[in-house]
Amino acid sequence: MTEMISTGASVDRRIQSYGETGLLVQFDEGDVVSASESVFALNQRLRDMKLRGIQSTTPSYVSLLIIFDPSVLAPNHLASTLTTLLECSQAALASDTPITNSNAWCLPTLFVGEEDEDAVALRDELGLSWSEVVERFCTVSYRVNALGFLPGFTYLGGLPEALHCRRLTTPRARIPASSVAIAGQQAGIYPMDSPGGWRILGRLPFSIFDQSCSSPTLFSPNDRITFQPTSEPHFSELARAADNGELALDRFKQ
Amino acid sequence: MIITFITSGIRTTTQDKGRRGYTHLGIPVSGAIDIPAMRYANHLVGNAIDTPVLEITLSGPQLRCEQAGSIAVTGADFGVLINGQPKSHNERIVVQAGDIISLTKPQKGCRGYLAIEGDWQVQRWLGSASALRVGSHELLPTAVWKAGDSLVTRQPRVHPWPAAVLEPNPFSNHISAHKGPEFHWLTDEAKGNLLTQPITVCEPSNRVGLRTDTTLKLKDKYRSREMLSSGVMPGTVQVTTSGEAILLLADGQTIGGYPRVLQCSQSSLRSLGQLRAGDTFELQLVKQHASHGASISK
Repeated sequence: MTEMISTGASVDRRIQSYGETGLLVQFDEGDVVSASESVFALNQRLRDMKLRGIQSTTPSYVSLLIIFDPSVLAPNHLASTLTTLLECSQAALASDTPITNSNAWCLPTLFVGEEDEDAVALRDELGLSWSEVVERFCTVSYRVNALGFLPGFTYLGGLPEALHCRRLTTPRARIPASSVAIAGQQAGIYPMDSPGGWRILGRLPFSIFDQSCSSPTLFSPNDRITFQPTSEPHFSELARAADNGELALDRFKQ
Repeated sequence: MIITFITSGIRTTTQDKGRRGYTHLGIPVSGAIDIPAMRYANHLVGNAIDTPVLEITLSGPQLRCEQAGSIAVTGADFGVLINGQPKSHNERIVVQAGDIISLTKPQKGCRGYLAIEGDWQVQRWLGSASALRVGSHELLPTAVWKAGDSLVTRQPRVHPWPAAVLEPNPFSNHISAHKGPEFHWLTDEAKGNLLTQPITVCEPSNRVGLRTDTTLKLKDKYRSREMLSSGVMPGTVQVTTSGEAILLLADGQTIGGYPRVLQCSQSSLRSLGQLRAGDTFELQLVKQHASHGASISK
């Protein structure tokens, strides 16, 4: 899917060195949504250039870290390339030019029951019934702001304010793979079993991280995700198909 | 060559120069922590310098050679015994079928590198043979060696012996670093403590990073500030909410939410990775390059 970006606001940004092999571009975090659009636009343009000497790029909420080999690519040259790209992105942002490619997903999700520990805690903290929590969670579209913490851990931005919540004071020893969880202003999906302090809303019937695969993560930064409640029988059917390798995940792309 | 593991040591893994280009998916670079030692070991046995090696942590495996060939041990100063006879560190060692290779504990450093001549017949993931453990998950389980495993290398392709690899300098407890993006979040006192006092490495330290005994204060206006997670890399020094400086190594996460106060220089990374719990080190600033250190603001 090609995403149209319609905001034309200019965003403050700063390029600074990060050791001998890194440059960090940081955008003003006053407006996280437009900053993250700028991050992805810059990342996309830089990757499309296939500049020799760039080893990797790490986009996150309001910043892009570029790791490069200074014996191949001079930091000055990279900095001036970035400045030029930033000017171009600014122009593109202003003119509604499509500048980023990303996928949109609609993910079947089995939400926990209303008697579940996290459901009860969220009901008390947020003053909403469990069905209201699920409904509000499912009405919005989230953006993959970053992958990290664990390989493939999917940080999602766009959680409705009514669902902003505290994280657990003591993290749990094990949150199961494919759990959908929230904490603070963020939502996230766990790629593998892991300790964690987020509130669990539900889980997906398939794995979002496959280490046998040449592209091991299901999602990429800047993808869009919505969640759709699913019934237990349907969830089990999908999970079984996924276990048998008979579930093409592309069907959940929009 | 074929080498069989009689014992595995505490943790013996396959490492090469790592998998680059996947940090946007949250996948760390990994690879040998002491890259110059890895390359020198490969040089000694006539391999291409980025051929995988065994990275040996604190205690060595015992190995049986099923075929003749050559090996070399570099990095931390593990003692090398062939059938009980001492051999030199940092030298090519010719071995025969039936020979037993043992390593005794190092006096200094914690990671040794054992190169084996030939092309390694090992599994790779995303272009690298390096082991990566995340929490309790092994992402390339065959790169972690266990008793009874066999490691196979085939005769190397004919290529000129790489001549330009020099023996690495001894590692140092003086670690040079650049200011990180949030260096100015530290109080002046904390900056002084970070850059003048000896720092002790604490448990649990591993390939993800080093824990330390520091307690560093942030300026009042930054103390309660929730930082949005942003990119980090091996050598990044972050300060946790409790004021502890943690130093990321090769298996460290790719983004982090703690202030990044320093970035260790590339040449210091190998020394960092040779520190063990209880060792002390000192951090010192290198001059920033004025040419690109200046911020470009709009």
